Amino acid sequence: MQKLRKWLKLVIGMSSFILLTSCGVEPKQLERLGLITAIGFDLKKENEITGTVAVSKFDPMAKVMTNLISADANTLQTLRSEENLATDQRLEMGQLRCVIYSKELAEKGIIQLVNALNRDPAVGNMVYLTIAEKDALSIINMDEKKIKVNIGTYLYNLIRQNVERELLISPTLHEFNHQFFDYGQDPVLPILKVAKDKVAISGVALFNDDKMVAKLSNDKLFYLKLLTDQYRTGSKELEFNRDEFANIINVQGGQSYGEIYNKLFISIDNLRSNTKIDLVDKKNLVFDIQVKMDSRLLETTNYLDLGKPANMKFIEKKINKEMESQIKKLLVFFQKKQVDPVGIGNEYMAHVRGKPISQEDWKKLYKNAKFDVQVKNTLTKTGTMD
Amino acid sequence: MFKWLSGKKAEEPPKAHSLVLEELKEQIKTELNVGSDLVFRTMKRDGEKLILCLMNTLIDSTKLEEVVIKSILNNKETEWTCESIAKVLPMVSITAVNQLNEVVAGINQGKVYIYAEDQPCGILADINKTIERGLEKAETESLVYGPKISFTESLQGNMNILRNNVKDEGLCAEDLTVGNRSKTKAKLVYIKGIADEEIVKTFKQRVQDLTLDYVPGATVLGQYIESDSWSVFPQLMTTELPDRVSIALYRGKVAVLMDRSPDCLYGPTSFFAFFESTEDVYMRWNMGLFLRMLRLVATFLSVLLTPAYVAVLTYHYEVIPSPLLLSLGESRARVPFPPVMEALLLEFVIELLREAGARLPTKVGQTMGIVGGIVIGQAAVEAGFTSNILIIIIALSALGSFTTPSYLMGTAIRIIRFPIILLAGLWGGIGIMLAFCYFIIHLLKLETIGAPYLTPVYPIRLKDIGYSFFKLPPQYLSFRPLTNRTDDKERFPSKKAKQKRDVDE
Repeated sequence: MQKLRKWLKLVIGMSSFILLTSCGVEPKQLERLGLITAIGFDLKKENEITGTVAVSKFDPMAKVMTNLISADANTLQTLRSEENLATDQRLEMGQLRCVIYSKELAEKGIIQLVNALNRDPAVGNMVYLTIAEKDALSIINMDEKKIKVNIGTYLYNLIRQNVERELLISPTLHEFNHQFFDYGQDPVLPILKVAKDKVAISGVALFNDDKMVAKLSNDKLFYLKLLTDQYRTGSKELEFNRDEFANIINVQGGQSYGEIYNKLFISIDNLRSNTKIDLVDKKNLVFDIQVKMDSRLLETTNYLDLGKPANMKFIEKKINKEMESQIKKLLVFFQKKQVDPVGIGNEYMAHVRGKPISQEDWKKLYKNAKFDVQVKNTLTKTGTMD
Repeated sequence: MFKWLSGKKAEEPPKAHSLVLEELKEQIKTELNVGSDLVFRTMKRDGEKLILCLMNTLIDSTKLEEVVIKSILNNKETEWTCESIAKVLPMVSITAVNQLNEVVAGINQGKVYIYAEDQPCGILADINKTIERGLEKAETESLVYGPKISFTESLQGNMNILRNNVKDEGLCAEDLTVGNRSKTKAKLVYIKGIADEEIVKTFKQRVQDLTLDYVPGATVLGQYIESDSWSVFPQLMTTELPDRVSIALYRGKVAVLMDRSPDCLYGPTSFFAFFESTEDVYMRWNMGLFLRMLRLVATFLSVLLTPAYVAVLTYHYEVIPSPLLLSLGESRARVPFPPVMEALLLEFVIELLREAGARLPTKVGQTMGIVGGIVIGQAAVEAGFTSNILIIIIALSALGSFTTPSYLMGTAIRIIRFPIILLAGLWGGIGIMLAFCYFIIHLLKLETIGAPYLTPVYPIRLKDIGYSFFKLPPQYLSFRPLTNRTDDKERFPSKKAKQKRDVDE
């Protein structure tokens, strides 16, 4: 009996190798696949979208080439099957690096298309989502000879490089999901534009739910990043009235320094930052925002006398004041547009007990919130350059 | 395992041989049918007759002439009796026998049988001579650093080397006979007071219980006495290096040396012991540690790299990083086979190269390695037979498997790659995991002379990790490996080793 059972086990084990082959995973041999590296979505007309995919294809005779395939459909799945009909290689989403939504589409809401990506297990969580300034097709249709790599890799590197330099908030699918499904925060995605045969980032799109409502230009991004994240690098140029600095402008040898501008620009480089948002008054909804920074002075357009500690204090004060007003302006702008990329809502919900507040209620409350911003910037270094 | 071999035949009752010389001759001749190898020399003196029976291919003729015949002839006073002859022979090993089977066995071992007619017994004197090669460098375990001397085929010589290495009063060398017919001499060597008696007993019993006609060498003996003959993994270590054996003996292991076998078998040896080279011991500990880790990593890669390639290219294209994607896809696009076939084909070519290189003389072998490696590799890629990335992977895993100091283990590692590749081609990553789990379970179930095979990892012996997995600075290895359950637990007092010593002390 024992022996028989052992044999039975062996037979079942062996036969599973032979008989259950179709129950195993489906083979997807790399060279037979058309790998989608980027998808662009445009709104074609009412009830129809155009999807354009950049497909890397491996041809034994030629070098790797990227094909563009477009199709019109209502859902991503149909789109893919439509596109599959137009190619000799099976289209797969597993190597997707970047998704581009046209501005028109983004203003109507993109969660349907984002959800389609979420449901596909082959699509990674680190896919970058972006918004095209005009239409997605013109971006995905970039001439590959000019950018030297395929468009998916180019866009991926473009965004990753800037995220690593901390010039951009990371726009991965994961982060979009997190911020979208979180009441207390709204997603932010970069906006791409075509500029002279190249694709560049022109700013970020602010979302209310899944609809794009406003654009934030690159120079304001610094403050948004300062409020949401911790900085380790990143730099910022600040604009000042020159007269305010008259006392500390150092005139060397009786000669004034070159005057290209009639204003004074100071560029600082951020070494460390730490932001604390705190709800201090629950009734009147007053948020206390404290930004602590250690930064270094990189560049000034006028020769300033940095040798005296009092002068440094003065510059710090000026910078603080300027930043405070900028941040306040930005927050008011967000309030006006009904977007909350900073995560003020999360801060509120963390402080209020009881039944969780609904999204609509929060949006109503958000309108009346007040902000008390304090920036404490310390200039730790004035000399070193990187 | 070999129960069916142990059915014992009824032994013949011993009988004394004939007292008449002519009849004795006939008796021996019928027992040993060896033609002219068997030589009889009859001597006569005053009616007394004496016969010398010997096998001339086994004996040292000068010894026979100078020692045996000369001393018998020179001694003219006494009669030729068993005792008197024994008295005049200036030799150490002589025995008095009269049983025919003992006489025949003695002659067969290179002894000379001296018998004076009508005496109740004769004398067997050992004048055996064996042809031996000189001491050479170890061939299968080549070393850069450390003693190079290796065992030869002579048990006597091997014991001599070992005894000189281990001048310990506790060194025991018990006699064993292997093979019912061949009666090969073997020695069970261990250090009393260190080696666990249980292990010694098990080892001895397993060798003694064998009922085999002939065992060609210690490696084969190892295959007969190990617990699982179906496994690809060797469960007992064989080595050519005497210093390796001495290190093992002091760690509480038990060794078997066999006559006519240049390998020494020792155990219990765990899985990780096969990745240990004596060089690790002679090197400074940090270099030893690096080398050992290098070998383990190489083995791991050697087993998993090719299957990973197959799995990724057949099923999991998602995980390929984008810089690699283009070059992988480009080189794969030209290959007409699925990745499994491609990998199996190339693995097969590498195995062919290795096997052919091993069979050919060294000089031709080298040329063949180059020709095979470059020509086949280059041509295969150009012809679109394989992708060049696979060539790198295959070469890497072949190299990895050759870093294993034990040739047996290296071969095992090369073999287990094939089923894993097949499974990777069948089920991708799931297949690799399945195969890997199977091998881990198999290793967990294996044992070596009653001890678990996967120590010190399972059952975990954290202290022993410094002996097999890692290498620690010498002052931390004051104890003998726990796994060997040694009687004497300490090698040196650990406190003393950690003391800082000043110059004036």
